[in-house]
Amino acid sequence: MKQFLAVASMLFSTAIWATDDAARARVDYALNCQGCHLARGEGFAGKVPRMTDFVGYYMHSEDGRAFLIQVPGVALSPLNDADTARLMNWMLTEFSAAQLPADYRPYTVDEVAALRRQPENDPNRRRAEVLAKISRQLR
Amino acid sequence: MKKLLPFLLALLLLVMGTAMAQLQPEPMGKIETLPEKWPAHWVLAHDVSFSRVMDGRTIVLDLDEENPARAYKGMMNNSFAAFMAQATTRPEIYFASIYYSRGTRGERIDVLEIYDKQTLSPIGEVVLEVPRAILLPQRFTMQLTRDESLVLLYNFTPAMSVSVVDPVARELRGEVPTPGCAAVFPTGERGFSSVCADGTLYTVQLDADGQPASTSRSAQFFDAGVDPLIEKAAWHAGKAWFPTFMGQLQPVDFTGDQPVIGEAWSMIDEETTGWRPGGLAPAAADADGRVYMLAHPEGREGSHRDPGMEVWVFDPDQQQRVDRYELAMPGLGVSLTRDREAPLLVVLNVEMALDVYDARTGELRKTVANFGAETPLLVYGAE
Ligand code: HEC
Repeated sequence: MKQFLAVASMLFSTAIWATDDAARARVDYALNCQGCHLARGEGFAGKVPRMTDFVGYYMHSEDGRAFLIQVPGVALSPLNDADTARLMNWMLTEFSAAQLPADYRPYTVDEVAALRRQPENDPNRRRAEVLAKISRQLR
Repeated sequence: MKKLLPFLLALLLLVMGTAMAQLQPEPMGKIETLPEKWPAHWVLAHDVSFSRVMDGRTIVLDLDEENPARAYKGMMNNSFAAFMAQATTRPEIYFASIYYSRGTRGERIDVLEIYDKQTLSPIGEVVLEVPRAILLPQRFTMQLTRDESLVLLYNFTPAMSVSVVDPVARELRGEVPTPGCAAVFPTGERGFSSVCADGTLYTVQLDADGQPASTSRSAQFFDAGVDPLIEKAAWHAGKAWFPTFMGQLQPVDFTGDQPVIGEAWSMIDEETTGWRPGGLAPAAADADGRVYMLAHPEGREGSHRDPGMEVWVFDPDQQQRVDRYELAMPGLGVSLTRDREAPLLVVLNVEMALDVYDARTGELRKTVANFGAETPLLVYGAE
């Protein structure tokens, strides 16, 4: 019985922790990103790229992984590194789980911290390059 | 009354007849041209026409002239809260207006319009490929490079970038991405800097063709999460002083190819505890590099747009306040005339009239109202 309780409470606290994490990411998204990217990451055609059913593709290459953190909206956001890592991991599964690779690894805080110190200066050009490579790879 | 009317008309004609016999008739439809270099006390009042932004206008006023009809020198039409910049080496003024093919709807076209200062007429235009930012007027949305060879415009689509236009050849030179960075501050001879969300400056130097030759990012010098920088800086001769929400003054020297970020210091002392800078155009500098700052008491989160009750005058080199002017009416914006001799401090008051103060003493000289502007949100001294 004791063992059962311990396991149950562990499960329970992970569940709480998990929903809490998602809730915080959702709030961070609403406050810092949604104005441009819209509620479900749908964006504006020709202005803000759609993330819904798409952003997961970037996880198919190291360069794509890096780009998502170096894009100005992420690298320069007022969120700290830990909040940014949590937000990105939530966004990837929330908006685009089906596009993630089989070996998908969530971002670590250290990875985010290192990458965002080198923001991308020409996001449009880099985006085109990164996506061209990934689409060749997936073909 | 019915019978009286013909009689009165006849009398009027008789009077007019005699008057005409005595006076030379004034020629009608007289068109005058303005001087190439405008007197120091002329200002440009940019009326964004807030409730009907298609119908904006910039009115040229002589603040020394008492007769309202003569003080009004002329007007240039603008559309959708135009950006404005004045050249000093050519008699030209630039506006970046937005037009829609059906007035309020339809295809959008953004143009840089070149106006002649002597006739106040458009003499050329350059169509912009990237739509410019839409926001309340502020000075650092469009600027000339220091050598005046290029016009720089801030775009927000919401990706951020700067359009580069050659106003002499009247050609678009291109678009430079300014990732996460807003506004344009001329830097060096032919470059600019933008203020970034992470508290840095992003600097781009351009070559003679207006293409980026080098880019660089400064160290972080403010934290928008702690004390945001207000990008509506006071500016004189390549030097800027940025107020912050909490009342710091941050100097940045943009005269060289790389901005030199000075030491920030507090504009608030024991006498002014609780006060903060604020307004639509809270800061301006005069030809001696003194900084004028609109300030309001009981500042709080979100009060950075509140009207100022006072204007504070600072000697930024001494990091010292030299004067405190109580305003006749709360003000939303400050600007200065360019002269050293008797500079005027123009304050846009909350009733949308211009209060003209002696910049040296803070004495109210006059109020200019009813000059055909509904919302003259930004006033520029003639350059
Ligand atoms: C001011 C508008 C704006 C805000 C706010 C903003 N973004 Fe963006 N975002 C863009 C634009 C525009 C792009 C396209 C790349 C570029 O030009 O910066 C973009 C691109 C991206 C991309 C790359 C997607 C792709 O397919 O290229 C990601 C990921 C992203 N943003 C995440 C975020 C996150 C997370 C936040 C909040 C912390 C955020 N953005 C806030 C405007 C914004």
